[in-house]
Amino acid sequence: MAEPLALEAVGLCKRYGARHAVQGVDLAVRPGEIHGLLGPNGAGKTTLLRMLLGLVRPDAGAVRLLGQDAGIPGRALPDGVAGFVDTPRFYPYLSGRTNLLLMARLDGTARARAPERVTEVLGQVGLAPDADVKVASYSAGMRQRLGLAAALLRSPRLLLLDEPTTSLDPAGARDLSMHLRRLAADGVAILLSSHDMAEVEELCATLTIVHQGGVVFSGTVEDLRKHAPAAVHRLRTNDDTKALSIGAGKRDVQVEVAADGGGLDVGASAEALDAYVIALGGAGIAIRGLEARDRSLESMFLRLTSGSADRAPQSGSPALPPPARSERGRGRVTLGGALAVMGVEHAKLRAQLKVWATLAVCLLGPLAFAVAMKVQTAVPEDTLFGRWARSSGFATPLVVLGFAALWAVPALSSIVGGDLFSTEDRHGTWPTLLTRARTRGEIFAGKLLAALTFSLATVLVLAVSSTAAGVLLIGSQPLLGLSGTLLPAGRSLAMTACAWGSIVPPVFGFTTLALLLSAATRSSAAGIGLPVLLGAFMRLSTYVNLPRAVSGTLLTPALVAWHGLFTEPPYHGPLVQGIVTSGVYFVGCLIAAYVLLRRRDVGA
Amino acid sequence: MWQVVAVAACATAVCGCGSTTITATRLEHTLAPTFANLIETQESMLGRPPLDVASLRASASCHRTGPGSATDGGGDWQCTVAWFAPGRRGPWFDSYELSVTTDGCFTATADGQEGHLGGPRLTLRDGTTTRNLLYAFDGCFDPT
Repeated sequence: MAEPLALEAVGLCKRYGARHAVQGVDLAVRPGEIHGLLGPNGAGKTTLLRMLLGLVRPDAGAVRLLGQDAGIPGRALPDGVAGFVDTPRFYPYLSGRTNLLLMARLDGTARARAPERVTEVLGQVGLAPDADVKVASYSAGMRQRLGLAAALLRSPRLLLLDEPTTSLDPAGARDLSMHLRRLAADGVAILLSSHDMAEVEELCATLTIVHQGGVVFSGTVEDLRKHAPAAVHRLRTNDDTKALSIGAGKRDVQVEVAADGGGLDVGASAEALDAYVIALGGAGIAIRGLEARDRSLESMFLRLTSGSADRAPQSGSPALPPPARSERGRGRVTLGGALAVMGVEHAKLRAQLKVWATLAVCLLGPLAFAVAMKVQTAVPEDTLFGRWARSSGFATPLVVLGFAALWAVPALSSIVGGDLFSTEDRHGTWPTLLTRARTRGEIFAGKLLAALTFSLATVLVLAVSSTAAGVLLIGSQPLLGLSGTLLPAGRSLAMTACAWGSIVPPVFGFTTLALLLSAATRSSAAGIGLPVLLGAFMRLSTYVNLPRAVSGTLLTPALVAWHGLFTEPPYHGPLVQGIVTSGVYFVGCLIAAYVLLRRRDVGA
Repeated sequence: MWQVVAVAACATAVCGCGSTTITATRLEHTLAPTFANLIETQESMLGRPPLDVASLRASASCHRTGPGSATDGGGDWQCTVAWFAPGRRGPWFDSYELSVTTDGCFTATADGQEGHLGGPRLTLRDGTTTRNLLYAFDGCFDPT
């Protein structure tokens, strides 16, 4: 029975506009084999790897990795498959070790085991001494090593590596070659993309050469040698014209004037070359220089990859993969997966100064306001409850809510939400994130949960700090309600809590709006700035007598719907309307953002 | 695409015109009881005998003073509150200038010279002063 292939790809195609990046590529890699994917820059190697890793959706073709359908954006990478494209990118504000710990968390590695495993792979790639240094200060070579460590963390049985030695020094490249050989000896299948024939020749037993998106050779290195032309030597004589005419008379020697005018280029086998040189000597022509120009495989590679993509004969065409099995599980969104992603996002947020600065402002801002009310006589009379800011401590959270709801909420809601997707674009970390064990759905859900919990945290901190500051500094006197009656302390406190709770739906609406803009524009400035501008525009438009059909589409009325809680009797119409409007924004933005992420070709 | 947006915007504007929820009736029905409640609260805070709010028989008459409709829409309004003080045969009339927002909330400020309602602050018998609840106050009604 034939050994199952570790990697099977059949008929892969990808077009960008009129350009065929990849056309009809077949690939097959067996366990324990290092297969070279060779081609000049722009040949389609990276696009091909992106399709294999599920970062880019193929226009046609099928991929099976370790026997499982793959290459489908949205699905998690099968267990045992790892790799990277381009120079691997990580979160620069975290250390190499922390980055790997987060990757391990995404892979579902047990928390207790993760540190030990991370230390192990860091040692394997020679990064142990710099493990606790922030990635921002890593060289390209160190990032490449970290990329390999991140791949090894998945205990791979199939490794897909895109030009892994590009940024390594000679010693690093040699270490990597040895490491890859050891992995292959242990049965790991490796697809090694490269534009360096010598590297592939040294490491790989089989290879596929691509040019202009198509396969121009696929087979063993020995097969390629058989098709290779004779080696080319540069010959310099004291009479090139005569040497040329002698060469023209020999059938097994091809002689032509070098394009750079530095002598003659002679294509011949070793024996034919010897005979030619002896003939030149016999004819009285002095040999002033003879040196190898191209090795035969390089000549073949250059011949195959120059000009239009003429297909060379392929040996050992890959077998067609069997019909796809149903593997719905790998595309599913699980609660555990979403929570794992949320945990990773929270860990990233905890390392960011802006997050702590925002929470500090939410904590200390109301306190500063209450202190100001305590020490001065003027009160903000133009704000509801502002007149009572010095008379009842319960007015403090309501005045803060009035200010925050009108002007600060869009900013607080989007400062994290508007950056969560675009930050991956800014740092180039989408491929890193999407080549772990989580589906795009889980990554979306995890990021959404992280954004919502942060928005909720800001509301909670503002509510608690403003209430505490008001009650502690001003007092818990009854509050004059909006119908002219005094509300006892207990009821004032309860209604204040309800008022703060009532802004949660529109806060979530703004948060998902920011997420959508972050995903759509791939820009943090737009993700954060546009919701703030839209919020200000919506707020200003409430000063105009807009038709009800228009005002009903605005999120900002939901932020002041709590006013009805402080009248006698209370009214709830605006609260209900606000919840409905917020719900429409929430669901609409959620769906749109998810579709954008799900359909996106990463790195295209 | 832009044509669809333009048509939708026009249709929305045409269908929705004049459908503002800020009306004179709603404002009057909110201002009068709020005013009466404030009289009761202020009397209580000043240590005076309790008042029956219903006995004040407060009512309000409002019209919009800004450009556009005089009977609906946010902006500046002028209201007159009529009410009966205990022991007084005829009604008092007090004027207020209101700034009304489209979410149904308003700030009412006593209009003109200081009358029987007094100024922003009231002087108590012991010489201290306190805020006059009736000089300027806030209120809200359901705009939906």
